[in-house]
Amino acid sequence: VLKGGRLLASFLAMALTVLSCPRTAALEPPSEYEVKAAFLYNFARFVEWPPAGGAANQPFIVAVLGHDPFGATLDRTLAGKTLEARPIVVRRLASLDEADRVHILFVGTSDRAQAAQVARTLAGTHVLTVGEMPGFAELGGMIGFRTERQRVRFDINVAQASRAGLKISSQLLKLARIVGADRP
Amino acid sequence: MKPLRDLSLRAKLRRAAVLASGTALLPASIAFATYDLYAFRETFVRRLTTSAQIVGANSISALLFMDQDAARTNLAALRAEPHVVAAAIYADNGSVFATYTRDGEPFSAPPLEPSTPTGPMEGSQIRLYHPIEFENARVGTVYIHSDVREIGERVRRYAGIVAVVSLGSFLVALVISSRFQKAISTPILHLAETAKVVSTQKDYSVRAAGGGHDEVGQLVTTFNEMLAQIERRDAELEEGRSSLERRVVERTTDLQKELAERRRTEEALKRSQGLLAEAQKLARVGSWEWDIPANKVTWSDELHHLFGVAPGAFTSTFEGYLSLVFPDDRAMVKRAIEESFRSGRPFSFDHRALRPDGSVMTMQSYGSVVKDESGRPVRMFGTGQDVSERKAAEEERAQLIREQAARAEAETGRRRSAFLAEVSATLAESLDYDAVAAAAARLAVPEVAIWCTVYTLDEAGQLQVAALEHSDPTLLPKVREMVNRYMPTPDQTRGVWQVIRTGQSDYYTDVPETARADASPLSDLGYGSALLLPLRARQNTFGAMIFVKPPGQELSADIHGLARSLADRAAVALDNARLYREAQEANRLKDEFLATLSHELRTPLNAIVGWSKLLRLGQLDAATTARAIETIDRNARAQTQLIEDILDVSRIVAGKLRLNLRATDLAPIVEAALDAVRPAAEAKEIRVESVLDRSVGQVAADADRLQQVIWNLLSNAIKFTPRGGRVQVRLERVNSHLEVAVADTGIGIKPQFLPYVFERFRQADSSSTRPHGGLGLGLAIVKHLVELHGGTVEADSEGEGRGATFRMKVPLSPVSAVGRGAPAWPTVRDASSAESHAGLNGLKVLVVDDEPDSRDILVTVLKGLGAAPTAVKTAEEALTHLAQQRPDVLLSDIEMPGTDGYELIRKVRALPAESGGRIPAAALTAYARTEDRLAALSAGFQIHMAKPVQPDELAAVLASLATRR
Repeated sequence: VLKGGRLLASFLAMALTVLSCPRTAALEPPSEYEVKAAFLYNFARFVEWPPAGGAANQPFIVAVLGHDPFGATLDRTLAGKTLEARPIVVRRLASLDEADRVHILFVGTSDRAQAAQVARTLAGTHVLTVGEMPGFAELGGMIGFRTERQRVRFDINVAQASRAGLKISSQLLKLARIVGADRP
Repeated sequence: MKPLRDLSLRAKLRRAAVLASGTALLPASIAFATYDLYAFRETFVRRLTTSAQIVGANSISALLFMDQDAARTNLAALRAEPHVVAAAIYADNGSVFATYTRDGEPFSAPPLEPSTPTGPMEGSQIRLYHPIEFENARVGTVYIHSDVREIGERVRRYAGIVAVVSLGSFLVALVISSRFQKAISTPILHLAETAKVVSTQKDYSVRAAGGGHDEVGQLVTTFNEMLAQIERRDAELEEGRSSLERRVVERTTDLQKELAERRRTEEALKRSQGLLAEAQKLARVGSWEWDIPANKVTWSDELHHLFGVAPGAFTSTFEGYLSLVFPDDRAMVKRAIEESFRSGRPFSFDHRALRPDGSVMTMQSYGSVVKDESGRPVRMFGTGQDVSERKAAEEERAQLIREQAARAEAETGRRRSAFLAEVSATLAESLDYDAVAAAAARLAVPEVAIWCTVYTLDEAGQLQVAALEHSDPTLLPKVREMVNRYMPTPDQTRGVWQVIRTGQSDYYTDVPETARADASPLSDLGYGSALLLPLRARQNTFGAMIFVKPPGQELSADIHGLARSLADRAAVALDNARLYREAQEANRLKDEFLATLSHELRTPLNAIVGWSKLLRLGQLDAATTARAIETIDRNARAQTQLIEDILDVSRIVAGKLRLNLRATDLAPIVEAALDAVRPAAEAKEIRVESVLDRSVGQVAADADRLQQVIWNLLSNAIKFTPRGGRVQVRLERVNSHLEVAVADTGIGIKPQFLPYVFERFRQADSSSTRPHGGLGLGLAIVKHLVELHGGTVEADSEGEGRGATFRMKVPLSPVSAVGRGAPAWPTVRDASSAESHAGLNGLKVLVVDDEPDSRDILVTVLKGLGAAPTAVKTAEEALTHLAQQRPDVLLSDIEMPGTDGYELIRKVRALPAESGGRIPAAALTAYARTEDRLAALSAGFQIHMAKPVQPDELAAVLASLATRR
């Protein structure tokens, strides 16, 4: 049971956090890519990667492949964020050559063949692939954004994710539409 | 309502049962209900919190992914809790994210109030805010509003239950108590009835009926037993009364018999008292008794008579008795009696008493104390006897003895002073050492001892029997034999040597352990015990006197004192005799030296004068002229040598002989000396052999002086070796020394003269008929020069006519010379050649010397040289001055009481440089040996100067040191 004083202090701290938020952020609704950037970060928090070798505080890499719809938004959103004390680094990749070294790969394409190519190339790696073209999850991606009543929602291909050794929290699954269990 | 006390037993029992059950039940019911309510509420709040936690945890992802539908679904789960009226989820910025109401009505959630903590109760309403946290950050808040009307219902239900239970218990208690009270009260009431019958009819044969085994049954039994006892007691009382009457008759008969007996006893007592009084009168002894608690003193007739007080005139108390005691004795009497009270032992003392007729009587009093069970004295009794006549006789005798003792003491004192006067007179008669010793021994016998031996140390430190005396002169040879047989040796831990070493006297109560074998002959010679006293004068113990007492004679304090006085006086007289003898000897030596000097100076002069006259006549032929000139030259040189020797001695005496030390090889010096004496040796056909080891290394030496030494030893050898003899010189290395030994086959030296060989003015034969010339200075000079080199010289001879060997040892130079003749260390001469006095103006010089004359001369010289000297007495003052004044140069003596110069410079060198630790320092000392020089340099001095130092040398050294600052 918290003592009154400590409880009060935690409320005050919360109030200060709320008050110090930029006014625009509080009043204007966030843009679509601000939301998606935040979602990318939140995916990282609800997905468990298999333990990797090397130092504990190696950076957590979020990469954008090909076309980058975020602009500076992704960098701004992830700036200063950490994941279990690991710094988060944003990379932009022109090809899939180095894609196996990243943790989350945002595939900016809208070409279905290219999306399937990504899934094939990264088979056997632990990369969480996220895309925004319609049916991305069904095509072998893991998480696909879609827009529903002006809100950003997502599909999850659970089978694909568990093949890559990634464990997705039930909290996340609860919010998603589960798709294409067996399709390649 | 009647008060409780007056109620019937039945009513009391009934009320007790009902009240007890009522008072026990009611608080228990209330307490239970209160606790249950409280617990219920706690559980309720906890359950609500848990619900909020579950909803919050389920809604984390909904919040993070802004899925309000999912959040709303989570809130809908609260439908399982019927009392939840409304709920909401707030986002982390405080805006409402999702809401829920039970009845489905739209609900506008209250704004999130961060300042209101989650306060659960407001009447029957609970409003609970619960934070939603994810990864230690707050992502939102759950709000639950619950209605708890249930609790009020629960309270009403409990009140009803308590009322019903209380009423039921009350009725049951009433029924049970009325049944049980009959069983208790009926036998008691019956007992009360029986008691009333006994008390009114006085019939103790009646018994109460019945009763079980409970307390009431016991009461009935006890009551019946009591009645039985009263009945028995009545019968016994009757029996007692009749037996008492019988015993009264018996006692009366006994009493009459007793009275008759007592009458007869009293008559017998009276008769014996009469006899006692008669006996007391004859023995002049009185008896007394003191009843202490009543303070009543009873005296026998004779005691009244002895005190001269009529029986009626005596105040028969202790104080009355005390008033008759002679006033001076009263305290003593009181003390003796109090002591007896305390110890319980009988007492005995004498005291004087003042009779009314004025005469004084001495009474010897005996007494004994009787104490009661608690140890308090209650009675004292005893006797008093007139012992005046006996006392007077005793006193007379004691007086006689005292007078005799005083006379004897006066006689002893007179004899003692007469003896000491004789001692002083006798010892003062002579200044001859042996005569004084003999006189001391003679004086001791027979006044102080039966035999006396005087031991003294001679010049060589050997113990000698200086005098011996025995009271029987015919025994003297035997005594001497014993004394010689048991001559004390220095290794003994007790005896004469120990007395001399310690200066403490000793006393043998028996034959010493070492002479145990001759205990019997010693006893025949009168040896019983021996007192050993030191002979001591001018803080120097130089002998001991032994006073032997015959067996069985104690050493009285008187005799001991006499012996000590004698020994002290003898010591002073012997010391004076010795001083006188030494003065005589010195005087004689000087006379002899002057005679010799005049003879030695005159002898060559005779030749010179004689030949000079002949030359002046001019009648000599060429050969004779040449011989004349040669003779004159030889004699002139001899005389020059004589004068040189005398001057050397004079320098040595004045301490002004100085050496110019350099690393030097000894072999060339020995060879030069050999060359110089060779003509003299050849003239006497004496063979001179030399064995010189040339690889021995160098010594620090003044070559001229060392050559003088060796030349002297060689000349001496040749001089005292007869024609055709042999002289051998040997140079070799012995350990860290070089040794030059000069051995001859000459006349040798008597053992007793050996210790004096190197003394000034000493000659084995100083008679005018002696065959050898010379002043006897050579060896004295040799010794001094060798010692200035840090060496030693010693003479050895197996006796007269058997030759002599002189060995000179000089320490090897510890520093190897850079080149031949180069200085082995900085010397005064080097310093003076290198520096001028220019730098001395105002130089601050700290002079440390304990000797006031040295300080004065140094300060005077230094001032004369333009320096600014300060002189201190001790090393401690020097250190203080060094710290405060920061002088430029330190000039220190070596030998000082307390901290010496070595220690001083070590302390100075231990200081940091800024505190003067590196001040240039010179040692100025009378120690001029090589070791001293090295010790000074290694201790930290820059330079070592031998006293006395010349002003210009001093100036040069200081100037040199000043540049090293």
